[in-house]
Amino acid sequence: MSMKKAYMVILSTVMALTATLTACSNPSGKDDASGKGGSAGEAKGTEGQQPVLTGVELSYGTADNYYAPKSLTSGLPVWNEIEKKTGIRIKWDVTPSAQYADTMKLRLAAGQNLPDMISIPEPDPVNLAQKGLIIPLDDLIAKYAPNIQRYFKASPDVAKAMRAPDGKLYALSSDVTGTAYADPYGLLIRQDWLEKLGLQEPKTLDDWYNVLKAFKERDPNGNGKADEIPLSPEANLRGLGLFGSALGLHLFYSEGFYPDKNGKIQYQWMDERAHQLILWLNKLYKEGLIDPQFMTNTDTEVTSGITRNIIGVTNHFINNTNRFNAAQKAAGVNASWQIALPPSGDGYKGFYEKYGPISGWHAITKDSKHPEAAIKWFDYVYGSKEGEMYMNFGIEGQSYKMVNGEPQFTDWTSHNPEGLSFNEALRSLGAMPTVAWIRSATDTSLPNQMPAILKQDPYLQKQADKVKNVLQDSLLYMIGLPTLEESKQTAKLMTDIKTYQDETLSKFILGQTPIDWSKFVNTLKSLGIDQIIRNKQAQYDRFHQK
Amino acid sequence: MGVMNIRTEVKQPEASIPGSAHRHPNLFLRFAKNVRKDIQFILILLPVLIYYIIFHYVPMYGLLIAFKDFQPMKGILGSEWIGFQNFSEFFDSIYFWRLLRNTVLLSLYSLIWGFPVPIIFALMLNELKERFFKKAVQTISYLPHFISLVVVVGMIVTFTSPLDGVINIFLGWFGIGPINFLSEPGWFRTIYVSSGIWQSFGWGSIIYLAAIAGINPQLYEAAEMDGARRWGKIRHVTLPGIMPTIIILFILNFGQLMDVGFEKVLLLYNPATYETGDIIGTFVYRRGVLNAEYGYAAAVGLFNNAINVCLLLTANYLSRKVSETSLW
Repeated sequence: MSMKKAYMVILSTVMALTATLTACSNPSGKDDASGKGGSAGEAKGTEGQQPVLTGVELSYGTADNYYAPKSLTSGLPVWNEIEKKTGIRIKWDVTPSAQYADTMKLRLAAGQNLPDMISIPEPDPVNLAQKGLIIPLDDLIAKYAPNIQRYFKASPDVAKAMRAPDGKLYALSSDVTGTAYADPYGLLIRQDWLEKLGLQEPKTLDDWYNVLKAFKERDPNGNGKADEIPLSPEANLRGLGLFGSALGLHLFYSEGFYPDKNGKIQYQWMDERAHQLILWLNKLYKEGLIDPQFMTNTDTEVTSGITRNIIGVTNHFINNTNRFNAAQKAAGVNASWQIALPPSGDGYKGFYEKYGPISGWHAITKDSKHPEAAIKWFDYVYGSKEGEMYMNFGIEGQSYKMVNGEPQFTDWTSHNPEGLSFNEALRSLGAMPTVAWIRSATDTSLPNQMPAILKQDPYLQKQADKVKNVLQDSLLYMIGLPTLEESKQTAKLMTDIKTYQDETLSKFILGQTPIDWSKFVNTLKSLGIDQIIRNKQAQYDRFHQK
Repeated sequence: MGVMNIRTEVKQPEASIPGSAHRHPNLFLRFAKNVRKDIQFILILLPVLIYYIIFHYVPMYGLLIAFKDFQPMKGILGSEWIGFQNFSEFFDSIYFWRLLRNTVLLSLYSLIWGFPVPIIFALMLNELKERFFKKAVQTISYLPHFISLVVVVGMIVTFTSPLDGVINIFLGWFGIGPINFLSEPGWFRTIYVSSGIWQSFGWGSIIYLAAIAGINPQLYEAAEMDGARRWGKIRHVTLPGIMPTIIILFILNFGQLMDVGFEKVLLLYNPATYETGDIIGTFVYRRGVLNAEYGYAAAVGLFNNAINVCLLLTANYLSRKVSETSLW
């Protein structure tokens, strides 16, 4: 019996240990090493100078580093340097990026014990400002943030986009105008398949139809099976909207809302041209040219299909062409993914919409005891040349070096010894962070990261150059923030509208219901789309008044 | 859910119990005496009671936000009272009836098709004589329960692929064209329910096996002597023996009719299958993505719960009328 007893003891010990260890897991790894700070030490330094504040500790609530293995709480080089320069220690109040939005929303709902500064989990700073959770920044910027003032003067449109309808500024947004030109989003195609089949790059929708048909019928992957999926869009239905450029439709970033030549906002999904687009897409689907699972696919499935050498066309940011080529190379195929010119049509020059201009919102909360310190910190990190060097380029000597007065990325960044990608390498040092930063093309006194990246990658540079002249502003470049009333109305109506629209359009394309366009448009009207158009018009008009 | 203990109360004539020849006139003293008698049970129960009071009953006041335009800064009491506005906004949606229908049907189908399966499985397992085979089958049947939902959905997506999924290849042998399962509304409920049954029937059969084990073996012998064979024994001994368990579990499941698995639907559906797949939870989720509308979400949750309570009360009442078993 003692054998059995011993066995039971061992078993229960093991189980208890397992339970304890699981409960004790510490996902953030290192501790924050906070402890002191947080009191006294008010901001010194006069206007116009780089402030040196000492002894203040500010907490920043944001998503943890996108490069997950190096948490912001582990003391990354970039942030250690910034702490030395500003004298402010940052207590990182972070959650893994996938859970951040939900976590912070709950904290905001509770409204207590908020960090000094936060990344706003949903793109509506006006809402939070109304609730009194974040404070207006204009006075603080005027008194303590000369760099931000300069940046706003140099990029007035971007600054305008950040203002609330009441004219006040409540949150800073990361400027991503630089990304738009250096990493455009568009249709990506297997250039090597085009060459193999002796095809020209498609220009019109008819060309695209012929190319996709050739991909399907002429076995470009050469395995003797008709297993090719000519077009597998990223972002499901939305991705297919890119083809709307041939009909002058702005369906991707603008989501169909676009001003006509009289400055009146139209909802282009109700246009007869959108009807033509849907008819064309339905034709493609019927002939098996679109991935039958395009409604359920996620990034994973599309990448998997690409690696299996069966997909001919998809859509994404161009930096993914490197990822696709590498994945296919690892599977033994020399693929050549490149961005294609956007489809054009009668009287319509093809275009891709630019990503941006701003992304994400960052604010100072009502609970901050040191708003002056916070804005000065922002002034350094978001707005000063020195701070932006850290954000964009990382650590001098490691991730970049100065060559003839211009920053150039080192091999450590572009051909990282541990196999990290560009972004990952920079993020492992703490650059390209989840806080407000500027990746601008408009303020020339600030370092511009994107040309430096492209310089290291001629393959991407070629692609960026190819579509440089067909990039257009989306609606987001032309409107300001909505008022609270507009937000509420839109929220109320948009769920039904979007449900109806997505469902109906997908069934049209899939051929499950016959395409009755007038019914579609009339139903949209009865759901209140006109109110939404009026709201967007108001945002557009306010933006152009200032 | 543990096995519910159905206690049959037997009233004893008071005079026959020593020491209680007269009832204490004071209610409080009587209460104290009862407590002292059962003190051990009460102490064991106390932590659980406290847990429920603190985490489930006290927060109920938060339901108020369903009737308010909740602003976190103003707090619950300070937010403006808007009465049933959140509810009417929800009911006014052109999709309200569809959402209700989809939610109820998904649950109902899961219940109707899924409820008998663990029972039948337990009955069948009980008939197995070969112990090793029985244990092996049991263990294997538990495994799907432990697979994460996301993985199961991933499997479903792969298997039902119209291009190279196993199911369509299999259908192809019989000349049946590839079916785009996950993009056709007609298939959504079948896929949802059958994958749910596959995942849960093994684990669900445990409770029935436990109940079967509690049946007095002498009853089986008696049945044998009366000439019952295998099916007769099941019908006349086993099934009646576990009937209270079956009924209680049925009532509980029925009372959760409105709580369709939100995550699973979210992973499985897409706009093409909104017609059958869009449920109350997913609709409110999409609305919540645009604006953190806590009052609205609370209103819908309250609506769901109200329906569930009605269903629970109805089921319990019916069960009490029809059989001797009920939750209360």
